[in-house]
Amino acid sequence: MSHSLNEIGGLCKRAARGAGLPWGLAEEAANAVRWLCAFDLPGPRLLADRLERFDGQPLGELTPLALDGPWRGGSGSLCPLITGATLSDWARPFEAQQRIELHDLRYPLLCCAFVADVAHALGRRIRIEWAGVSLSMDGGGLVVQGDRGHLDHDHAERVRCCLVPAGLPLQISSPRIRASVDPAAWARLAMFAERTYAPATEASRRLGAGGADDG
Amino acid sequence: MSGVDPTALLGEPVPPVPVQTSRPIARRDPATVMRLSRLGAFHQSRLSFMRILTRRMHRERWTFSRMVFAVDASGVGHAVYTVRTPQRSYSLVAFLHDLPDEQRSDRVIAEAWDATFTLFDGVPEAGDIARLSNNVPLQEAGRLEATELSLARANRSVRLWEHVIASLAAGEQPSREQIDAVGYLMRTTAVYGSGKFGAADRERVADREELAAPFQVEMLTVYLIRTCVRDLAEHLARSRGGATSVPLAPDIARSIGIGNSTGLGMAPFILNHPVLFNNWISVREEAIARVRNLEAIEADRLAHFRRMLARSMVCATRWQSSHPVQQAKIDTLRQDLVRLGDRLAVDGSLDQHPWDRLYRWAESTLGLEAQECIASLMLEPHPELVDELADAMACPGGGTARIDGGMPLCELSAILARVYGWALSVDWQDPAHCARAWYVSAEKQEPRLGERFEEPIEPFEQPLAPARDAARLHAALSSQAPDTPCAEFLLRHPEHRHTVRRLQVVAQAPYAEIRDNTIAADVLPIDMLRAKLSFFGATRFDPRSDRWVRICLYGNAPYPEELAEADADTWVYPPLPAGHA
Repeated sequence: MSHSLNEIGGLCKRAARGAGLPWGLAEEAANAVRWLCAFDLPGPRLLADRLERFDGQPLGELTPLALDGPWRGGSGSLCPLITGATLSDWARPFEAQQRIELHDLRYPLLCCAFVADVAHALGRRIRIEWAGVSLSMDGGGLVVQGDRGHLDHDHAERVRCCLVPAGLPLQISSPRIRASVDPAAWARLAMFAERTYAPATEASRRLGAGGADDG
Repeated sequence: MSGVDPTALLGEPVPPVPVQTSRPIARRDPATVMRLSRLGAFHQSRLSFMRILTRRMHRERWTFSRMVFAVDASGVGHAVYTVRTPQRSYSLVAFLHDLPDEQRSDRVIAEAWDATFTLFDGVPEAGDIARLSNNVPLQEAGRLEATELSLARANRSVRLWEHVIASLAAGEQPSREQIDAVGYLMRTTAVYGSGKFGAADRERVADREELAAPFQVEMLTVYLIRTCVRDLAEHLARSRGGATSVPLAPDIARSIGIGNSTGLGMAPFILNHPVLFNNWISVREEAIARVRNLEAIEADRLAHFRRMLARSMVCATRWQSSHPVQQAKIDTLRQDLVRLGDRLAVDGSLDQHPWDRLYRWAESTLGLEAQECIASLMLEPHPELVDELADAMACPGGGTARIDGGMPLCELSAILARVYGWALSVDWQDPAHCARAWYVSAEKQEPRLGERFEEPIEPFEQPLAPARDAARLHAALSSQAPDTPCAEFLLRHPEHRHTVRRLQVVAQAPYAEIRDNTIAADVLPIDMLRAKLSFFGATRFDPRSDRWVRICLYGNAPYPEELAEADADTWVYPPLPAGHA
């Protein structure tokens, strides 16, 4: 069974919100997973891992402490969603710096859609690499090089993100608009999403949405 | 699986709506247009999505065929209607049921319907039909695939259905009066598109010329449903009456549209798609401004306006609502349209900016319903200025807009003051100003509006109060250095990320934001529904409470076999009764 990207994005936004992320970051999480799914990468499973791993943990502890020099989280680890969002916000300084190093980044693959967004915004090619695998993107396609087995690692000690010369055209893989989502990951995300739904009461059923049963 | 433009997955800048510059009369101020009371008075126009579709069908000579109609004497079975455009084919696959009366409900939480439908991309084969027959009748509980573009269901109008079938079976035409009072034989209670329940994402079809304008998939689905419903009614009359039965007279059949019952879900849609909503409104405002800037017009243009006005008055006369607020609005509209007729009798001059003079007179003299009706009517005689703008109504990017983290907070504050200035003087602690909260129910994930201080819903609140959230951001910004970049602020205050993004979007999209309180004790969600439905081209807007509404689509539209010869554009205005010139 395949899913539309719209369904995947909708579930991920609710799941991220259900796990306590503010709406603005939940939107980013949905975008990040949609993007990964379009390249047949395991976005939903990694998002479920991320939400379970840090469920209830204050976001501040997973946020980069300072943006000059290597980025590190307050508790030691970096959340890929807030780190990715910060990287996206920080596109111009990043362009001037040419490279950024991230320390102890959890679920680094979840960061990659943000990097693609920055590449698109700057009109530049960017490579992100960790543990023997690299992803290059220019806002359109994606090239994965190295050991793909490292793509879904739950953390990377050191992640390097740098601008690279445009050079030869990328042998890109193109995004798709359908994705197969691992049913177990879907169910785990759905459990988080459930937290955003108000339990129905008789009053809400009667008043909440309107509608009628007459002819 | 098909490919997709990679950048469609990323945040795109707001596409520009073409604007004519160097002209004396500007577009109307968003602060005027985007009030809920005015949005709740919007009327259909040349730019409505149904009319964009029927004009194209006519121009490109689309052909229609009923490929399958396997329906028994009780009305149970399935049907397939295929439309061929110059480039490709689409098919409505319909599953028809015989629902006991007690199961008929318009609520999203219903579980059975008289008819269920999907629009299939191409021509389905037997295997497709078999798969769809196991899923489409289940609606939300079934699964669609990438070849399905929409999912819809409809219920019979209990008031009209039996009357029409009994009359036709007996060899008589149904009462015109009863048909006019209802307007439709079936009403859809949901028409889902864009990737819902496994159906294709919008990206699959967004680059197809015939589906590029907004909601064309949904409008085509409903157009074909209307044909199917007429055929079903005639089939049942034949089954019952045999040789005695007659088909519907063409003019009566044409006057029958498809009803639609719309709940709250549409209100969050326009708040959640600010760029798309901006494009619809900004295109209509551009069209109004173009027409108002005409220094002089030809006599036949004014004559066309008068004809459309007369037919509009027929529409207003037939418009019925049991809702007291809407009843009062309709009464005022009828009186105002008579005043407009009187005014044209006195001042029929064709120069000195005739449309602008008329609009200014309406603005200072008439109610909002009539002002918006006239604004739409003024566009009718000028297709060459208006129709091309339809191309700018869609919103190409599918992703979440990227935040410009380099923007200094002082610039953000300036946007905030410009768009949400009115909200900064509102006391957001006062229960009257925050009495409501938008939430999603566990039951079928239905959007609902609740009482914040009476129900346990606040922890589940959706981000659908942009004005209150802007006021909260304003308070947070007051302690920040003005030259701080947004990125630095958001690093410490991710709770404002949603609102900062919205401000940056709204700064580029002047008509994106509603300039009213969407959680006030006295908010009328039907105003938001009306604005959206007017762009569909809906008529007979009939609120059944402050939060749901019945409307009519495609009333008076030509059927497929009439399209080539008929007026495929101004059909939305009912014909004048016999004896009127």
